[in-house]
This record gives sequence, C-alpha cells and structure tokens, in this order.
Amino acid sequence: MGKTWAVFFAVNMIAMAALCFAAPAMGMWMPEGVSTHAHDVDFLFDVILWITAFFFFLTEAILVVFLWKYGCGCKEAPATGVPGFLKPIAPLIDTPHKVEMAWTIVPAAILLYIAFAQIGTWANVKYQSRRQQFLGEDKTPVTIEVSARQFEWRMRYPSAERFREWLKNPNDSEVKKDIDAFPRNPHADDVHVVNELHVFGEPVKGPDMDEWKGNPVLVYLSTRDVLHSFNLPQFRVKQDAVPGKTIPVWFVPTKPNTVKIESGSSTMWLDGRRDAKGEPDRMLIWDIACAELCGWGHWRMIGRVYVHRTQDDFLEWLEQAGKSEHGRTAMTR
Amino acid sequence: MSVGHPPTTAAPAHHEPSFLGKYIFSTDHKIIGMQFLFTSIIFLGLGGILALLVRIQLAWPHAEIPILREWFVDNGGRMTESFYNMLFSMHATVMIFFVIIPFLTGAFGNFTIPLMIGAPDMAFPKLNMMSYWFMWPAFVLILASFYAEGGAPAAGWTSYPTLSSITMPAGEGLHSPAAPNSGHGQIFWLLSLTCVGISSMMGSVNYITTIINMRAPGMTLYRMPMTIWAMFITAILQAFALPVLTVALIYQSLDKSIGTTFFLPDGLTFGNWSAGPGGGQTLLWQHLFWFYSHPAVYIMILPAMGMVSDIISTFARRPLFGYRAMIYSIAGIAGLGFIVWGHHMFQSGMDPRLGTGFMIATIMIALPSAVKVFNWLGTVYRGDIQFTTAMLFALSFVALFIIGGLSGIFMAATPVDIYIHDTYFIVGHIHYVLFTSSLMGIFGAIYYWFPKMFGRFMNEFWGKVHFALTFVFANGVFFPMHILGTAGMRRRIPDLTATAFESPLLTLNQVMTISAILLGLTQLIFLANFLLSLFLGKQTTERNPWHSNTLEWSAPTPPPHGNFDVPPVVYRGPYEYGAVPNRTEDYLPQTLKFDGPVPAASGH
Ligand code: HEM
Ligand SMILES: [Cu+2]
Ligand SMILES: [Cu+2]
Repeated sequence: MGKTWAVFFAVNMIAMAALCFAAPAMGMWMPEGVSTHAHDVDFLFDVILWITAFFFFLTEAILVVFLWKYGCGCKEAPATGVPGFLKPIAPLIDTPHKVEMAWTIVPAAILLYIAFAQIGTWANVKYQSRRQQFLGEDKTPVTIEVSARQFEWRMRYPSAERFREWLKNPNDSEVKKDIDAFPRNPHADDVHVVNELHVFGEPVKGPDMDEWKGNPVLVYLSTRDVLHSFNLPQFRVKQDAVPGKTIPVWFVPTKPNTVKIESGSSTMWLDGRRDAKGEPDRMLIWDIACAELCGWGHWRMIGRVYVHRTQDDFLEWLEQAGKSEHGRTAMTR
Repeated sequence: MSVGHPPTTAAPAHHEPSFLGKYIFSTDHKIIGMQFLFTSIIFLGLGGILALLVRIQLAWPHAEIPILREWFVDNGGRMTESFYNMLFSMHATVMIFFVIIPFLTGAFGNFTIPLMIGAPDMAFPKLNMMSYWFMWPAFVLILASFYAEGGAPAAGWTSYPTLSSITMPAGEGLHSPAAPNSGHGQIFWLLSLTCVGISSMMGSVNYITTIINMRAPGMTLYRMPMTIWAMFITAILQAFALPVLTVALIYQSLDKSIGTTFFLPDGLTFGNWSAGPGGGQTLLWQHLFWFYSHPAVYIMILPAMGMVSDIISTFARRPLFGYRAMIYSIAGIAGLGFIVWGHHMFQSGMDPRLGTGFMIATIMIALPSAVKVFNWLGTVYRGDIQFTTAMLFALSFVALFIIGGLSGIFMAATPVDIYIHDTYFIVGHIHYVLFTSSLMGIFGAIYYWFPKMFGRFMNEFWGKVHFALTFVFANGVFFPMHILGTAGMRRRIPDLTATAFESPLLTLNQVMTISAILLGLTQLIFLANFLLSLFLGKQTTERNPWHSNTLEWSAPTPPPHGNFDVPPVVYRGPYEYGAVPNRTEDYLPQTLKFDGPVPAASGH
C-alpha cells in the first residue's frame, strides 16, 4: 500500500513541477519586463522561486520516501535504521533537540534574508522620499494625471508648449513646483486623452551598439468613483486608485513599442511595433489592465501604453493630440 | 478492549428528550456539531455550483451555456458581467462564512471539545444551541440576497467601498449608482455576516470557557491533544478579531442606509450623479476588514492543523514529533496573525513604509508554518503508517499546505506582490490553503470521527477513490492558477480575451475547467458515501476502532447524552504510540494507568 501511495504523491508533485518548467516555453510566464522596475522585481521573484523550489522538492521528497519506507506494514524493519539518504545527518536526526533547532534557525535565517532583500526595491518603486532620486534630479519626467472612472482611464498632459519649457529647464525650481502642482492645477490648454498613456525615450550611442534610454514617467493617479488599479504588467507597476486621494506613481521605460506612420496627409502612431515596416508583435502590446474590481465593466477597463522611440515623436504626437477634439488620437482601436 | 472500563448503569441524570428537543433544539454539543456538519455540507454544494459556473464562463467566455442560455435571453444567451461578479463574490462568501468556518469551529469544535477533554458537555449548552440557531437568520438572509432587487452582492467577498457601499438616499430606493448588485443584496450580505459573527462569538466564548474549566481530572494543558489546542487558540483569535469585523459591517450598513460616510470621501461622482459631502476614508474599511479577515484565515486553518496532527499521529503509530513546538507554533501563528493584515493592502495606497513592516512580519509567519510541516514529517518518520482514508487526507494536507505556504512568501515580498497582487497567483494561494489544506483536513476528520459520531463506518474503498480523484483534480484546477498569475492574468474577470497578455491563457483555462467539473463530480462520491453510510454503513459499537489514545475513544460509540459512562481520569499525554515492553498494544490511551516505560515522544 505504502509504495503505491508514495508513487501516487510523487507523480502528482512531479507533474506540477514539470508544469512550472514547461510554462515559460509555452509562453505562459511573466511577459518580458520593459521598465527599470522590472529588472529588480523579476530578480527578487527568481530568488524566491529558487529558494521555495528547493524547499518544495526537499519536503515533498522526504514525505514520499517516508511513505515508501514506513508504509510497508513491515513493522520490525523501519523502526531501527535511518534511511539511506539521511545517513549523512543521522547523528543530528537522533537528537531531536538539535534537529528542531536546525529546522527553526535555518529557515529563519533564509526568511530574514528574503525579507530584507525586498526593502530597497520596494522603496525605489513606492516611497515618496525616493521619487526624485529614482527619476533623476536633472530629468523632466513625462507628467500625466490619470483619473480613473467606471470604466475608463482619462489622461491629462501638459500642452506640448508647456512641456517643452519644462524639458529645457529641468532644474528650475519653478518648473519643479509646476510639476508638483500639476494634479491640482488644470490649465485650459492641457491635453486630454482617453485610455492611452504616451511616454517616450531617446536612442543613445553606446560604446559598441546603439542603446535606447527611457525618459522617466510620473503619473498622478486618482479616481472619481470606486477603487481601480493602475496595472501595467509589463512594467511591473500596480497601484490602486483610491477615491479622495492622489497617488504618484513612477517608472522608467526601457524599450519602445510605437512607431510613427505617415500615410498621405495624416500621421498615425501605432503600438506593438519595432519599426515602421515590421509586422505588429503581440509581445509589444502593453495593456493598462484595471486590476481592482470596479463593477461590471472591470474586465474591459483597458488602456494601452505607447512608448515613443524619440522625444520628437512624442512631442509631435502631443501637439496633434492637443488639436484633436474628442480626446482620442488616431490609433485608438 | 484495553480502554474499556466496565459500563456503569448509573447514567448521568439526563432524561430522554423529545425528538424536537433531541435533534432540533438540542443543547447536546454532539447534535449541535452534527447540525453544523449537515448545513455546511449543503452550503458546500451551493458554493461548488457557483464555482463551476465561474469556471465555465472563464473557459468559454463567448459560448452559450445550455441551461444558462434561458436565463439570459436579453444578453444574447450569455451570462452578464454583473451575474459573473455575483458568482465569484457569493462563491467566496459561502465557502468562507458558511462552509469552512462552520465546518471547523461549528461542527468539529463542537463535537471534539467536550469529548476530547473528558467533559459531559459544553460549559454553556444553551448558548451553544443559540450559536447554531443564530446561523439561521444568516442562512435565510444570504439566500434571500439572491432574490433581492439587483441580485446578490457582486463586489467580491471583501466588499470594498466605494463599490459596495455607495448608495442613493433611502428616498431614491437605496439603489447603488456604482453597481446594480450593490443595493439591497449588499444590505442582506452585511446583515447576514453580522449574524454569522454573533454566532461565532457565542461559540468562541463557550469554547474558551469549556477548555479552561471543564477538563477531566488529570487533563493538564500540556496533555491536551492538538485538536483542542488549535480549537482553543482559534476561539481566542475569534473573540478578539470578530468585534472589529462587526463594527465594520455596522459602519457599512449605516453608510448604506442612513447616509453616514464612514467609508465615503468627498466628491464622488458616478456618471452624472454626484454624492453628497463625504469626509470618510475608503481605506478604513480595508484596515478593519483585514484586521478581522487575516486572523480569520488562520481561524480557517488552525483547527484543521490540529485535527491533522491527531490523525497523523494515530495512523503513523508514532508520538507527535515536537508536541510543544507544535503548540508554540500555533500560538506564534496566531500572535503574528494579528500584525500582518496590511499584506493584503500593499498596493492599496496605504503608506508604503507600513508595507515594509507588514512584509517582515508576514514573511516571518512562514517560520512557524514551516516548523509544523517539519514536525509532521518527523511524526511519520519511523512510523508504521496505516493508509486509512483519513490518513490519506491528512497526508495530502501536509503535502499541499507546503505549496500554499511557499506561495505565500512570493506575495508577502512587497516588490513581487506588485506584479502578482490581484492576479490568479492569489487565487492559487487561497485554494491551496483553503481547499487542498483546510477542506482536505475536514474530509480526513469526517472519515476519522464518523464511526464515533454515528456508530457506523464510512466505506473505505470509496473513501480512497474519493481521495485519489480529489487529489488529482484539485491539483489539476488549482496548481495552474499559479502559472496564470505569473503570466499576469487578473482575478475577478469574466473574459480574458480583452488583453494581449491574457488571451493566450485560454487553453490552459479550459483544461482547468474540465478538471474542476471532474472535481465537482468526485464530490458526489463523497456525498453518496456519507449519506449511505449514515444508514447502511458497517455498524459498530466498538469504542476505539482506530486504536487511538485520546479521550473521545474511551466513550461509548456513539456517545450518549452526557458522553461518558465512566468519568474519565487522565494519566498521560495524548500521543504515546509505539511498542513498549510488557504491552501487546502499541498505544497507551490517556485514561490508562500504566507505570512502564512509554514510547519516546521525540526524545524529549
Ligand atoms: C506561510 C504563510 C502565509 C503567508 C506568508 C501568506 C501571505 C499572504 C499574502 C501576502 C496575501 C495577500 C496577497 C495579495 O493580495 O497580494 C495572502 C492572501 C491570502 N491568504 Fe495567505 N499567507 C499564508 C498562509 C495562509 C493561510 C494558512 C491561509 C488560510 C487558511 C491563507 C489565506 C489567504 C487568503 C484567503 C488570501 C486572499 C484574500 C483575498 O484577497 O481574497 N494564507 N496571503
Ligand atoms: Cu477595475
Ligand atoms: Cu492575510
């Protein structure tokens, strides 16, 4: 009996572990991270994954071996020996006090390591006090007010003109004040867009190859009705929008996904693309997928992130969006 | 029988009550336990059906489902989004407040506590009866909410304001501008849970008093079985946490009925309807709710841990490894359990610096959980395992709780939680701790105590079939949830084809749904086994069929009103299993006076 059940448990556990190993290959794993947060978050995820995987295999293997050995109904034999695979630590096992100490202190140390390893990243992503430092003192973030409602994301940008001024004087204290006051100070020439978050970066010459550097993004998040959650899975960003509060959110993109396409008299910006000629790529479509239940339309409260390849592309888009009446730009689905 | 004391004819002074008094308005803890048991099984069926509807919608979001098609002719034969939200909200509500908690504290708390401490009944039998009967208004209200205008609540089992709580003034019919289901249905929900809370509170003061005051002579605290320790600590948790939930429920009821604004800030606007002045805080609800509901998740597992410890020790024929460490780790989990509620709110807009503190406390709570797992493994070590159905369920508790505990560490890590919060990863975690741990423990406990409760055995063969299929299909539906969550799939959505990152997950969801349907069908085997065994199961009057040490096995089977024919006296701890010189049996019941050497209880 014991052997049958040992095998039964083992087969199930192995099947589950196998699913974990197979899933990334089947395209069911974390999507490629495209912000500077992603690098740190994914690293911490992997650290925890390897540690927990180790303890999963260890404990399940011990269970299965014990079922196999001590479930045989052959009373005499097992009561004496330490099973082969535990021989190296036999003296420890035969002193229960020591083994109890060991299996308390070792996991405690590992858990403490896990806990303290998180603190820095968490602070960079969320602590207000780290915001400036994280975004870079001499950079002007793309500043956007995102106001959620059932079941839409409404975005408000400074006008292209005003934003150009900010870009020119990133260290000017008046500019900094203006950015801080942005959520409280709507201007008549602000640009309103629905369900589209446009940000940008700039190609830079690297030592051996061309790189691309994202410009920091600062979002002031609020809602006028119920809770929503500003969830950008590819950017590893998630923050609930809370009625009555305005919560700053920041990140730096590391990859563009939007190209400018000119056809005849009109200009369009399309996401999901590496370049103007290429086919659209599903992996380059980055949804803003509301993650907090907000009512019947919650599942389809979806926006998209457009990361422009250059600052000029972005500014050109901003200018055009300012002229469009219905707050939607050309490439809305 | 080694346990057998000669039965005395001098039965305790209990007269034979009428049918109504015996089974309906009973003050006998065993009958009350069975009442909780039967109602929990019925609600388990209801909760299961709701879950299957959720799964079907997720797997085939655009299909017309046979039967359901008729209900939704207006919606092209497809389930509405509000209906879907109602399904998962009510599934969780039913499973948590009407299945797991009543099963553990109501059914097994009632049945085991007096019997295992050697008492004739609870300290307050009438209060005990009231605690069951206060569940009935809760049952009626929660079922009535399905027929309320707008339907049953659809704001999640967590009922976060403002979605759940914003209501137009009474003059306008108490409807919600935010969601059709957040009107009358939500009010029923609030009242129903208030009744559940009152019921639990009556139970918990009773359990605490009984365990402190009514132990048999010789039953010192450190001779109590783990089941009793777990019930004791759970009752304390309940007594301290419940008032906070009750307050929160009352605040939300007031917000919804007489226009207070505990959870409503200024300036709320829905379409072109604007709420009046607010001044409240939405996050206040989350703090109050989780201050109860995090301890509540331990209320939903500690008793199962206790029962599983007893079952494993009995059928491994080994002393429980590290008995004291087991007690301290339960106490540790309970204590830490009060300072970790914020881990549900990492992304909620709570000050992130608080998140850091909550994270450290939460990660450290995995330590006592780990110690318990090692102790269970240590108990099996060098045992002589008997693979009864009860033991198989207990072993699967250990095997699968490991997964639930380990997944907890991912979510406790604040930066990682940014990505997996409100995804299927959480749903996977919940189901590993609540289904494949707590519910597996409950199944084990049913198979284990059934002969004592009803004087009949459940069928072991079908029990094992039930176990094996449940194990396979439960893993089949719940394990892939971790993968879905890692791929970013959000929880609480009826259709995953709206985004680019979720769409590719449809096939896996279909496999899971098939597994879920098979899991549901498997439970019919259990139901048939349970019901048929009640009337046709192999009859027994043997007091101690499993050769177990604890006191309930020294009472007659089934125990009469008043429980013990001979008032038990306790001479030893509950886990002295194993061969000893001068004894043929490999166990030493707690009532046994025996001066020889005893089995080494893990070498202490
Ligand atoms: C090792 C121990 C555990 C740790 C570290 C842990 C950690 C966590 C964390 C951090 C969350 C919040 C995740 C999020 O929403 O982002 C969570 C959710 C949850 N946990 Fe655990 N947990 C543990 C054990 C348990 C146990 C034993 C139970 C129940 C028996 C449980 C039941 C739940 C439930 C029901 C939720 C989800 C609530 C909801 O949002 O609907 N957990 N857990
Ligand atoms: Cu939403
Ligand atoms: Cu919790």
